[in-house]
Amino acid sequence: MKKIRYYDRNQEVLMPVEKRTKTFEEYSLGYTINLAIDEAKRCILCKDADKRCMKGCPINVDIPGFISKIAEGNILEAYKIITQTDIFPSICGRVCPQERQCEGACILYFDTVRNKRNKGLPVNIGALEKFVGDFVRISGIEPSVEVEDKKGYKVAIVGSGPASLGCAYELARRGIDVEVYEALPKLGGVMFYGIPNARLDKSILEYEINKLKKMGVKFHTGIVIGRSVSLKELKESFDAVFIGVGAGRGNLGIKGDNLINVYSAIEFLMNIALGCPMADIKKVAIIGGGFTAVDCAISAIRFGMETHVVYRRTRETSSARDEEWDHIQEEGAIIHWLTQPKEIIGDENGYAKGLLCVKMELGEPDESGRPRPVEVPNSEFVIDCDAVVLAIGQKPNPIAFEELNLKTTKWGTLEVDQHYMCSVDGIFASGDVVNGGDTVVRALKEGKEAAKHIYDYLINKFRRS
Amino acid sequence: MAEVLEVIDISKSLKLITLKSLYLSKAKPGQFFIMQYQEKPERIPVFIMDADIERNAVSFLLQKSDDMVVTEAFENIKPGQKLHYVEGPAGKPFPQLEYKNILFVSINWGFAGIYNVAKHLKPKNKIDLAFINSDAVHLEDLRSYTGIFDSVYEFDSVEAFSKIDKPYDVVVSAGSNELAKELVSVYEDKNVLCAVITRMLCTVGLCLACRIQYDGKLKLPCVEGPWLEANKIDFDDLNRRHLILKEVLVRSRKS
Repeated sequence: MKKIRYYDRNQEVLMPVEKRTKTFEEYSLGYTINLAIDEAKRCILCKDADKRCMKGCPINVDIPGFISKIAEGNILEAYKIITQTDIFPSICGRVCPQERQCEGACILYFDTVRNKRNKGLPVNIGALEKFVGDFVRISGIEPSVEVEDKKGYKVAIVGSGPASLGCAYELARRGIDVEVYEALPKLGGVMFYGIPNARLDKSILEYEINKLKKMGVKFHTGIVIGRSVSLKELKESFDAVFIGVGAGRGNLGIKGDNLINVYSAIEFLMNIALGCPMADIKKVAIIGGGFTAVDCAISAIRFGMETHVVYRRTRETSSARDEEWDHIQEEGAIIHWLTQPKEIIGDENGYAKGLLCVKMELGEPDESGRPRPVEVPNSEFVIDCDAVVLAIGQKPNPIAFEELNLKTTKWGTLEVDQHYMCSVDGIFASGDVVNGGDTVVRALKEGKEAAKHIYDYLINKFRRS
Repeated sequence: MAEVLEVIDISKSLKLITLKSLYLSKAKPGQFFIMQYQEKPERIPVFIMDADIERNAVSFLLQKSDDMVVTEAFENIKPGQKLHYVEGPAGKPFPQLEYKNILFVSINWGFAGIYNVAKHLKPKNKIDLAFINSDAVHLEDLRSYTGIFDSVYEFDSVEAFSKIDKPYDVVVSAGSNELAKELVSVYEDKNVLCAVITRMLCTVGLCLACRIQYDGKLKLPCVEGPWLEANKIDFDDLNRRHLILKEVLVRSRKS
């Protein structure tokens, strides 16, 4: 009988701390083929994986299927299995919070059927997925994608983030002509502008987008839908329109948010991605506890800033990956859990010079079931800093759809029906602009799902007419 | 990428550039676009001076400046060259105004935005121009383009500018936040509209880099401007942030 290897999880090789804090090169160097095969052999290939790791994966990748192929040394076959559902294995392997998805449901770690913690460490599914994607890309193998015959319909896609790319892939595969309109110079949305190169090398994104180009997807940059071209014009020129403009506009609303050197997270990260000049910041306080806050911290550390992260809740309730908190702590970030920022303090010239905070403790559960943080009396303190980054909340960019008065929710997100169609016939949307901001993999999934509904819409519409 | 069709030297500090761009040529009066001369410089918001849909062409003024990366573009731009990136048109078009007496006030390259809007409003309005000469640009440099105005006034400094004794309904300015601020105090009983100059990154209202305090609230000139009511703008806040940006850019260029 095969011995179950509960504990000997293979970790990816990391760049040494002293080296990685000085470079924006990727710090997680990935598996060698030997390590990947060894890790793949830890998987016990559960027969009921659809109730476990596969269920935990938002796009239901056939995890035992691809892992068994790695164990056999057949990486190309593993790639084919993954890409049946996940078109970007190299990206999802890097940016998904696997410990709350597939790995959180790995039987070695947690028995989802019996709902009880098991004694071991999960198979490193994320690292294996990344390995497969990287192996194929670096080998120069070009796996073919079967594209159906042209159906004679064309769809415009607004934005080029993960939802849009997922939608573009699925439509192009089904023989629909797709044109993607992006305002910014680089394609990929949050994957280019929001995730630092240290976590997702931009060349990977470029490779994946080139795959779509080879499938016939056309990309246009520099076009601001709602300004350069109206949504109405787009709708008149195409058989359907998909809106995947994401959500990046963060919340401000803290006293002192208009001081000099107070940035929204997307401004801070875009500055870096675009290579724009940065102010000379020595100490930065980043407010937030999600992926975006971690990405800001990764970037700030690499610019040599003393980096503080301030989050009102605990690490357990954070949406960022566990290991990323470990990584930035190793790199010197000072993390203030259960800390509520109250005010950004400015100097006489209008520069930020400190963040007034108060300590919190966990109280009774709130409506979400999470313990509500409550202020600890007389616990105010000031974090000395010369810049503050607000990585809290997300709102969609409305200019793409304001003109047609598409119905929105009270949070400003687009209202869609069960087919991802907006309140105007022929206009669809998904991803962050609908869900308000979530993971790359969820956006990818919803983009693909919307594409299936767009396809049905086109086929039925033209069959009727 | 956008091809440079024509470069006209207006003065030693000012050039009129014409680009080929299908989308920019559809710009409505008062809109701007974003230019990146090279892959990794600052994104520069540029007023559209003229948009010619038949030629797929758009023109703008480029002014030499010591503290902006635009200087590099100014010194090297030539016909046939392709700019790394243009984006737009962006911003809201200028609001339609009819049967009014309008005073346009302009300094430096802001004339491009003024010219574009004035041409649009001329058929139904009386339009005058007050131009503030600077070290870089004099009214004389732009004489070929001032024929559309009913009257033209020239001043040598913002300080020298005073009330022009005419019953203007609206005052419109472009080229300087300081000028707009001054106009609010000079024309305190008039509606003063100005094109806000602020740093822009995303141009779609997401990054908040361009944010200003407007009537006590946050406003994003990239999507809600650039033409805003000057008396509602907190110029002290705006200019403070703008000055910092200048400092950052100067330091960046030197390093």
